Amino acid sequence: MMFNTLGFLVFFPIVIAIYFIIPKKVRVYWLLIASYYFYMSWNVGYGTLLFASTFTTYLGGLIISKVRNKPGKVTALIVTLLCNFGMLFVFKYFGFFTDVVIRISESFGVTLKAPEFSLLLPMGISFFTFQAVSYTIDVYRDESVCEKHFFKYALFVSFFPQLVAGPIERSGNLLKQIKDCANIKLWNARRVYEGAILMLYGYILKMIISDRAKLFVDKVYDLDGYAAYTGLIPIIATILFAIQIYCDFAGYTYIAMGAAKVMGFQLMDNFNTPYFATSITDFWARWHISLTNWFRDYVYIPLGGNRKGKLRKYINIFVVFTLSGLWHGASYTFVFWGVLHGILRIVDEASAKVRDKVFKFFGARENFSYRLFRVMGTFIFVCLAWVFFRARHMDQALDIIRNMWHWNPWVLHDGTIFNFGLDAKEWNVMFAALAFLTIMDCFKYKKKDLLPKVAEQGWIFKGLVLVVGILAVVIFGIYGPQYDAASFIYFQF
Amino acid sequence: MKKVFKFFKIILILALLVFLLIRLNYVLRDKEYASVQDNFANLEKDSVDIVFVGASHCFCSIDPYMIKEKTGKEVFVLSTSAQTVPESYYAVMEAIEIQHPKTIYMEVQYCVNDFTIVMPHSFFDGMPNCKAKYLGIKDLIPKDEQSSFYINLGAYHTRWKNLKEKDYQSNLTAPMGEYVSNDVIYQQPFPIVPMEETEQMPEISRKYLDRIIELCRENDVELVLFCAPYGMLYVDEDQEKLLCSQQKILNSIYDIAEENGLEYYDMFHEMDKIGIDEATDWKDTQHFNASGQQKFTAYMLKKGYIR
Repeated sequence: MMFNTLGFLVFFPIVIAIYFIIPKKVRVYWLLIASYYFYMSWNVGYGTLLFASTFTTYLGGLIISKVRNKPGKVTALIVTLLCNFGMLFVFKYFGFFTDVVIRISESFGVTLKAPEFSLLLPMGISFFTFQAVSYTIDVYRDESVCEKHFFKYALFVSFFPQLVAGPIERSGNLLKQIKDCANIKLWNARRVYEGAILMLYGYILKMIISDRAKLFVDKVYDLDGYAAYTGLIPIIATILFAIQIYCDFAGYTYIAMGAAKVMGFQLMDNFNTPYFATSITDFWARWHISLTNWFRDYVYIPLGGNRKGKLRKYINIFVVFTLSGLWHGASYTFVFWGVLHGILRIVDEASAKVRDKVFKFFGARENFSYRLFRVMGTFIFVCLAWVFFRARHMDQALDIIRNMWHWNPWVLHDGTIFNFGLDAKEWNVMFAALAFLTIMDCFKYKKKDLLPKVAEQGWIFKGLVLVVGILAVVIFGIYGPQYDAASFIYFQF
Repeated sequence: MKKVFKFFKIILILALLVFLLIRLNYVLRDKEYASVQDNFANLEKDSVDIVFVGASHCFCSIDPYMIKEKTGKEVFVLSTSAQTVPESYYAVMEAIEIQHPKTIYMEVQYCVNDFTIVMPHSFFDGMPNCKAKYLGIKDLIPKDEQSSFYINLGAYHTRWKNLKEKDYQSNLTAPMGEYVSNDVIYQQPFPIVPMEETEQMPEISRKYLDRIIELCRENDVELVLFCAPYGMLYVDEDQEKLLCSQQKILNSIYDIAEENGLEYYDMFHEMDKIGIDEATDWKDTQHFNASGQQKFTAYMLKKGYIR
């Protein structure tokens, strides 16, 4: 079930109400039942995969902790990884892989036929697989204690607020909290309020900004006549997609963090004002932090990280970003998006010294305008890469980028801009919401996050913030019968 | 004491939120369509003697004030735009549940169609919370859309762009469900099919018409069927064929009425006697304007079809 559906708005209060009144000892079981219900409401069969991933990684962890000799540990780890990544491969990458094989064989004059079967991509499979696998690897590395209580571990893998779109939690954080679940002081008004405010902020990002931006983006990117749109139209659509995907994913994260917080759990933050990044390296330290950390800890560092010379470091970066692209989706556009970021990241790294010299030569200093210039430059690169992420195929992405080089500023004032799903009033709401988002992110950038500050205010102010926020979502949110509740984009990964 | 105060604060905020949401629901709702049902919901229980149901042909033909004046009975026109026969079934159920009138008059023009529902929000949104509403939504609305019929904000929240002064006002128009139009068009002459020529009614309409008859019988409510005349949407051969086919279906209702011991008045056959003037009495090709409505209602009263 989606966070922005009526189903969740009924499900969540019921889960909370029961969670608050049942005995401490059964809290874990209740949350586990709720999490499986949450996940299986999409497709009952999905539950089997979730269970399979949970069971194999649990068993892997148990065996690794029991076996004394290293070969035994390694074997257990490899089998666990094969089981989980194998499942991920079959359900997510098999179609893409066969397509690649067929294309390669065709280039050698051999015609192969793809097997005719299709599997429904389970929601969030990449998220829970990565989370579960990280636990087994941590146990293997002695960085985490093996969890013997199966149900507590199962809740760690399936915890519903972050199950289908992260953050990809580590056992050191979430599993530890689940183990202490019985000791959580449930009725802490301030914590519950903070959770509610986080959720509300997430709904504002998702329903007011992201889904509104989506209306414009889809009109440009999803129509077969996209090639007719030139100049500012594809540029605006791409900028709006950058906003859409950020508000969609960050919105989901805030709802997840808020829902968890209401229940007394602290999830990690997944975003830290990514569009204020001053370089691609900085961007990846701020965007989808839990995934970046995962790749760093389980791919980049094992490959040698930056310990084996510059060339090896660049290769490692390239491998990590290519895999990151593949993680986002089984298609050439996602892979290319990852490759592009890898290249930009390497260029960023390699050119740092030269760049600094150039800036020094021109007298640029670490002041606001210098940072603004870098922020804008990074944002442009990120947006260009988003074109590949959003496009349906490579040809479309290239066409769209090509079409951007066209001078037509009049589309801003001759009414053309209002022909893409957003009329003048919708644009006003969009600008107001973006101004709000920018203010919030500015405070967060300065490490003075406003959301926790609200919880410190008097009860009338706090109450009014909640009421006004809910009314804003109800009135200006994009939802309703004519509207197919837009999927959170990251669910498909 | 501190705990009580904490609890009180939460209740106060929730109460404010609920109040504002209810008010918002009212402001955002499309008054044009919902006010008839709203007015019916606001009537004193069991205070209405006669209820009219049916589509726009019904409210364009019936002047409830004239009926009240001539008969001394309390009247309400519970007809809504494009009210299909299945919807009329739930309107009849609602009328019986809330007012239990002595007589229900059903305008049957929509029996010619095979529609389940056309404008669901105009019908259900103003309906008070009653069994008929619950059963109607469950029966006629696709499952994934049902929630927006219980919580209307889902359907209407985008109206913030079109709000006008009247959306904030509480005084509803049409206290007796009346509708009056002063528009005038010239109605092209249209054919009248003899009463003997009949055609079978579409399945859905027939099924729900039978259910309406049964429902009224079970609840001891008199049911009277009637049809207000209407012309062709466009003057061409296809439209003429369509109108003739529809009139044949309407003619077939005589047999249904006879089988069930009901009165049925197909006013296509009494057009001349009503005195409808093609130059002054139509608001569009399908509906009477104020003048046509006056003539039609007066004739129905004079002949004792409405009593």
